[in-house]
Amino acid sequence: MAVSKPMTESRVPVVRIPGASILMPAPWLFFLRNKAKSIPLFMLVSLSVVVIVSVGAMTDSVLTTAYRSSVRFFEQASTIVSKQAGIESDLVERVALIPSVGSMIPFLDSAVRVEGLLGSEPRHVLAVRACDADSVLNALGLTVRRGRLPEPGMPEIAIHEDIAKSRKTRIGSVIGREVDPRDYLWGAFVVSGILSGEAPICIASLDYFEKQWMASTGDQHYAYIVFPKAGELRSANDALSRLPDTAVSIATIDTEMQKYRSEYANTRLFLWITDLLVVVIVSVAMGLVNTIYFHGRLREFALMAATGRTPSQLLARVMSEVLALASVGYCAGLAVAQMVLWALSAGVFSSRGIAIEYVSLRSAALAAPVPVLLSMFSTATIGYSLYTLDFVSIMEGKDSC
Amino acid sequence: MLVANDVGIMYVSGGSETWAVRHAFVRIAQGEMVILEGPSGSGKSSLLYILSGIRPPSEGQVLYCGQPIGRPVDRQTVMHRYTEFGFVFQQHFLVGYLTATENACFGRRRSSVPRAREILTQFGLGSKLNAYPRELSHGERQRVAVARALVHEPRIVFADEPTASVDTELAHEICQWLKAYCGRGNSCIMVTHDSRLRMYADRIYAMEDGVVSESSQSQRTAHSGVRALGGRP
Repeated sequence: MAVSKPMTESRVPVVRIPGASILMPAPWLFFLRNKAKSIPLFMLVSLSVVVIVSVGAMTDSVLTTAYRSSVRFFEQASTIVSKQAGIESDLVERVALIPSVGSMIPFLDSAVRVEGLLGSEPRHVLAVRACDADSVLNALGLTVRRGRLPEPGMPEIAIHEDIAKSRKTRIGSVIGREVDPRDYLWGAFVVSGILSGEAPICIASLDYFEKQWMASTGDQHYAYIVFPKAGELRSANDALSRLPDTAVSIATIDTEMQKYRSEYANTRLFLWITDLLVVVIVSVAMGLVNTIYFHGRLREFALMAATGRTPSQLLARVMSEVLALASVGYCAGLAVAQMVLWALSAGVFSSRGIAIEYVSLRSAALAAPVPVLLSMFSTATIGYSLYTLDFVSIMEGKDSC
Repeated sequence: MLVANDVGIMYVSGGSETWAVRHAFVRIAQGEMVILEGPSGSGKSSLLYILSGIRPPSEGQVLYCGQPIGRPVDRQTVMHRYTEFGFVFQQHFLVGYLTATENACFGRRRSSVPRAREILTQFGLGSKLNAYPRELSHGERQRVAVARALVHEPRIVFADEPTASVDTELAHEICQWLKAYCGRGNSCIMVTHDSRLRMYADRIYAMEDGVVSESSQSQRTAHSGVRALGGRP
């Protein structure tokens, strides 16, 4: 019979232990073949990911809609609004002479209310001259989907399709404070057209607004939209910020972003707290369950230790097992969250004009701590037991398999 | 190959010290089958665990290929246990969710599967390669446990009463497999209290109350009835 490993008495052979990842059993085998144990853990991970991703996606929807409604416009232009009855002509000329300013459009601003995810939310109504309407639509990425823009001097309004859905209005419907006291939009306006595009706003006639203005400003306009020359928004805003603040209020991308961040700081806080709570609760719960499972597998780990595993390798084994399960649960959670959001969007929110974001990289990243922390927590709770494992005592015990 | 020089192990329980093994001198040469016999509680298993690097001796030293074996958690000691040593425990310690083949390959590379199947087939488990422990009889489980100790072709097999809870026929079969394995240049040390298995030993150590002595009845030839265990070509 052949001698497979000839050796000499004098030399200790150099031996290496392969990494745990290539050893049998595979890290996922325990949970794969112990479904009664793995399914509850799998469900726990998946559901936590669904909660985090769904909350994240809905919060994103609120923030995105708010951004499109209130801030996006200022990526293209800025506004100056009089703090008095109107903006003096010399100030208008001074702005027009700023080298980085391309054009100025007089406007007035109002708002209508819609039901959003977090309750009643305002949507801007921009009243502009008919000749300026196209510039505004272009700046906001809007098109007229049905109907037409308001006629000059007429109490008409073109509304975004999401606002139309939310308010259940269509062309010919009437909106405004006379029919809905929650609106800031004074009077009654007939819907003349439906707009589509990213920014959920309304367009009205400046002529009509000014005609209805209680205190006439004469030839002076109350507010202007200032369009910069191409690529010169920053320098135009810098120049506008040097205007006397006793006469006008300047709204730029910086001021509006600041307002937006401040206004939605609590929404973000809510998201982070939810995320943190779910992650911590799930990690602790799963870590404890895993510890219980581990104590049911002491003989298996004792056998590994007795036959040549360091405590670190056993720990790596535990971590890889938990990470494998948590990763599968995470992916399943993302898939379920996508379906939940799709169902919510199609069945509930879309018909109300509320756009729901689906699973994004950001919302997926929010849930990423679930498998990571969970593995770390489980490993930490089991780690101490592994490092103090008296495998000889266990191997000397009786097996009841 | 493996030498224990004046080793001993002491347990402390309730403030009192008990020496389970004292002043033991043991030598295992290449290709030798060594039997360590003695009554229950005589310290056989303790000595076996010291020799295999699972328990540290309280006194003395164990040398493997001339090099001292360190503490059980030392990387080099762990490496020896993994690659150089094989273990058969008194109980089979099969993992419930693994098949017979997977149990035989427990902790090994996937490439060891063909070898595990080969050994299991030679052990008469060819039809139960994919059976789970709950589907195997006690004797079949113990065969899988022996296969697990041999699958990586260790240079020394440490067997702690592997025949204690099996019938006489299987006890002889297990001894024959281990003896055949030693015939390939490897070594085996087996703890037993069954004197009928002395016929397989090349060297016998007797233990009583923690004291080891080499038996005068060591039998140098025990090849009758030994069935060959196929090895790697």
